[in-house]
Amino acid sequence: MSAEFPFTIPERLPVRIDPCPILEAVLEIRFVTQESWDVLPGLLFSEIRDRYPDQLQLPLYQIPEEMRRHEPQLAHKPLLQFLSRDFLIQFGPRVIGLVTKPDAYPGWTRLREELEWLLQVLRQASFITEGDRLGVRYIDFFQGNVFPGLQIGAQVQGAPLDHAELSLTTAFRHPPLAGRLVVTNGALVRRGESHATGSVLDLDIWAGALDFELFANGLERFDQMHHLAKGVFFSLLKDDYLATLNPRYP
Amino acid sequence: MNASYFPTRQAIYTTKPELIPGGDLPNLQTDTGDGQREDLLLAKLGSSGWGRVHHFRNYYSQGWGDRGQGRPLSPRSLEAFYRFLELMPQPRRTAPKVFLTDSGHLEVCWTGEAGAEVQVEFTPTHTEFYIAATETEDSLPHHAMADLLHMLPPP
Repeated sequence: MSAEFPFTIPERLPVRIDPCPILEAVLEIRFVTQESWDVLPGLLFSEIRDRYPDQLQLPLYQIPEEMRRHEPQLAHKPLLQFLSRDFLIQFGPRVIGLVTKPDAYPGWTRLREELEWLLQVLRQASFITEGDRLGVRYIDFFQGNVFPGLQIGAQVQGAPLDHAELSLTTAFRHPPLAGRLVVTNGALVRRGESHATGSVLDLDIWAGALDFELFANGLERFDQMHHLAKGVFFSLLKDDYLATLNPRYP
Repeated sequence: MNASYFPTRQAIYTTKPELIPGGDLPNLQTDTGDGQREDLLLAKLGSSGWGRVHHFRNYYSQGWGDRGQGRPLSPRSLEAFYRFLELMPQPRRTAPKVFLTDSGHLEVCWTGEAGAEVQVEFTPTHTEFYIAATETEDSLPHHAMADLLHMLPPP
């Protein structure tokens, strides 16, 4: 089955909505390297220590490398986190991700600045042999059931399934990019020591290996992916629901 | 084994248990096109070729080979290889064989009509080919894959 592009992106996109629903944004670079994992954290940390002084081992770090290497689904999982005041860098043998702090999205301009700096760092550290995949992922959280406010849903015998517990996943292509959208009204979100229940809109956009040159047009591809993610997000909102989010236009 | 058994990072959100499919689905893949590509491999290279590509893709990270000389499989080579397979006609004789070179590039070889041996190697930037019958050796950029296929004896 071919993946179509089923969204009609509005001509005018808001520059801001309030409250901002973005729970977390992740800019991810998957790569191959000839360096062993033993030396990679040191190569990266020496370049970022001033801005990301703290680090944290993730639970997967404890799994022996031989075991990790033989489990394909772990190939692109991060093992370490480096922390700064505004962002996290997640790092593994074949992946590096720039992640915003929960519920503290600083805006694309600021996130892009940090990404530009990170790309310069990666070029200097020079351990990336080749880029494998670039990805932009936005996770948005809404109180309650978001389906009645969205232009996406499910039906049973022709009747909308708006008020049942529901989780939808769809994949699409928008050459040279591809994406996957997950919408669920059964999400549990951690907020410090407490949990909130509600809906999540989880949108992942990526570019494949032949569709970017990391240090030549990587930043431009991230711009395109961000623009597509924003367009898909706003294409999903019904006009009256968008109005409740106080959109501001340029 | 399912990767979900391993803790990675505490997820920013989880889904209510009743919305999570039950059972272990280790072969379920959801990246766009993955299912199509599995079908493509099986159709054009057979189960042997599918198995070899699966193995190269998942287990040949840096340092493979007797002396650890093998470089990791190039993602750009893999992507070019898939694009080639999409355009390659269905083999009428034996399915092409697939190899991983020490440089981390995928290579396919087959014997065409009248015993014409053909080798095609996918590098990160271009595709190199060799036709033994005419001793033709050349390369083309990946975007010229359709032109390349017109030049090669079909498998």
